[in-house]
Amino acid sequence: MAAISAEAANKPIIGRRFYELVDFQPMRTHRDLQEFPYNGLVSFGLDGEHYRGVMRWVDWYGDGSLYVLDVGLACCTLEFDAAAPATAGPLPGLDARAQVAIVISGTVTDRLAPAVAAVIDGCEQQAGRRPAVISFGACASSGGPYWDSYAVTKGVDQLVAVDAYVPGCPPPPEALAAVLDQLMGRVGS
Amino acid sequence: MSLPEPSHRWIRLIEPACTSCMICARECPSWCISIDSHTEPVEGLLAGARERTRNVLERFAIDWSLCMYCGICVDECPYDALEWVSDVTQPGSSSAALVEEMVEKSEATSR
Amino acid sequence: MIDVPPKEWLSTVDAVRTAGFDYFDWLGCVDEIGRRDCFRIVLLVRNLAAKAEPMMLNCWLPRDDPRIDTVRTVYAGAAWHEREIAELFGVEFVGGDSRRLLLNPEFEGTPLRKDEVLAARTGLDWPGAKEPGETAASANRRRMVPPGVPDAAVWGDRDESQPAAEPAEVAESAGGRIRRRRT
Repeated sequence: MAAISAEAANKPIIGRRFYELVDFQPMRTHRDLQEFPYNGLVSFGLDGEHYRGVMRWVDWYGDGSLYVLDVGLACCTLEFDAAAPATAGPLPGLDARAQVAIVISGTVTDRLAPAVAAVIDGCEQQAGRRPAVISFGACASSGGPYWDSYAVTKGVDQLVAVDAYVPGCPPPPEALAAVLDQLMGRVGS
Repeated sequence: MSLPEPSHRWIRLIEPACTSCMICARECPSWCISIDSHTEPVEGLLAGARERTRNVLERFAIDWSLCMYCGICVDECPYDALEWVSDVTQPGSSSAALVEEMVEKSEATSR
Repeated sequence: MIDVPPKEWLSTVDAVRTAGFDYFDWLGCVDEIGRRDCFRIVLLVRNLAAKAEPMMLNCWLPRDDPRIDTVRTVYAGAAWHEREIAELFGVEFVGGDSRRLLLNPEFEGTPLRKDEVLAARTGLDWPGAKEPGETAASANRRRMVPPGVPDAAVWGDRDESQPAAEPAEVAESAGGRIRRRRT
């Protein structure tokens, strides 16, 4: 499987301020930071505004070679939690050879699609390299069982170029571990 | 952690058991099963017997990017031609790669 | 279950809260097309202290002009439920929050109404339309019709000279638990 490759598709970011999507006030993010100090931050822009999202990055092998971010949209994120090693934290300064992967876990709704695209762009800026995008589960791959919905984006590949598609509803945790191993050329580890 | 065998991770077609009855394709809520078949006359009948035909399966494909692993197809198949397997469904590098063709095409049309 | 006329909705809900039902459970909407030409707004509230049965209030709104007072001044939690009902059913909550909640601003339509057809499946060939022994579904034979997809004669492929289908007809054609054979 190819390593990080292909330029991200440039999708126009339509939509609203991220904080209009839900009834959150910006202050709540800062409170979350105090309550969950192990969460990392990703910064992203949307509609010309700058936001910081509370995200966690997983040092997948514990050696700084691969950092993985979960965009947890639905049930598949629980399998990501099961697959991820225990440690998670803010994104540190990266080694030049370190790789970065984003896992889209769950259904991408039309409402949240701009935010998902913005988060992926923001991660690329923060990491300084294009992340590998993994579409985890049926919903992220094609809309899954909700392909016929009026409110669902039929696959995250409508927004960004995807490097690996993992089928399942949800896929077992081993499937994610295997795909990341393949991505890193660590087959069989 | 040990799991009961077989885990519901992948679905396999037992091709000799399939009669192309279309029940799995019709019951699938995601419309992810595609079946093509044709009819052929049955050979080796007794002299004087009326002509009979049988279905020959040409194509059986499941689009794993749509499948939600509900197992209705496995339950509904009257001939038990679908079964759960414990291997993980193969990932792919494109969404087209997630369509699995389960019938190998061969030159001969009859078995 | 108590039926409340629309004009008395807010005052009744306020009285119910004052009577001790101060826990807001949910506010929902049912499209009663085919039975009555109405939307039924349903409110479920509980009196946790008294451990009594929950109170369910119904309000029947005419389908062609569904307007009802907001109860978010009585139960603040009702605001989200009302926003969801407003955008998915097209019900107007007078004095309520009219912002979109779950759908894009550009989205048009009221998807949860029963006569709104989920068009995605009508546009695709159903894999089950073929008969055993067929490779391509032949147009001449009687074919099975997938559940949940409206009959083309009612919606989508209707004869131009016929009048438009009644909403109730469309709703019945798309719903239903009985798989029809197209004759």
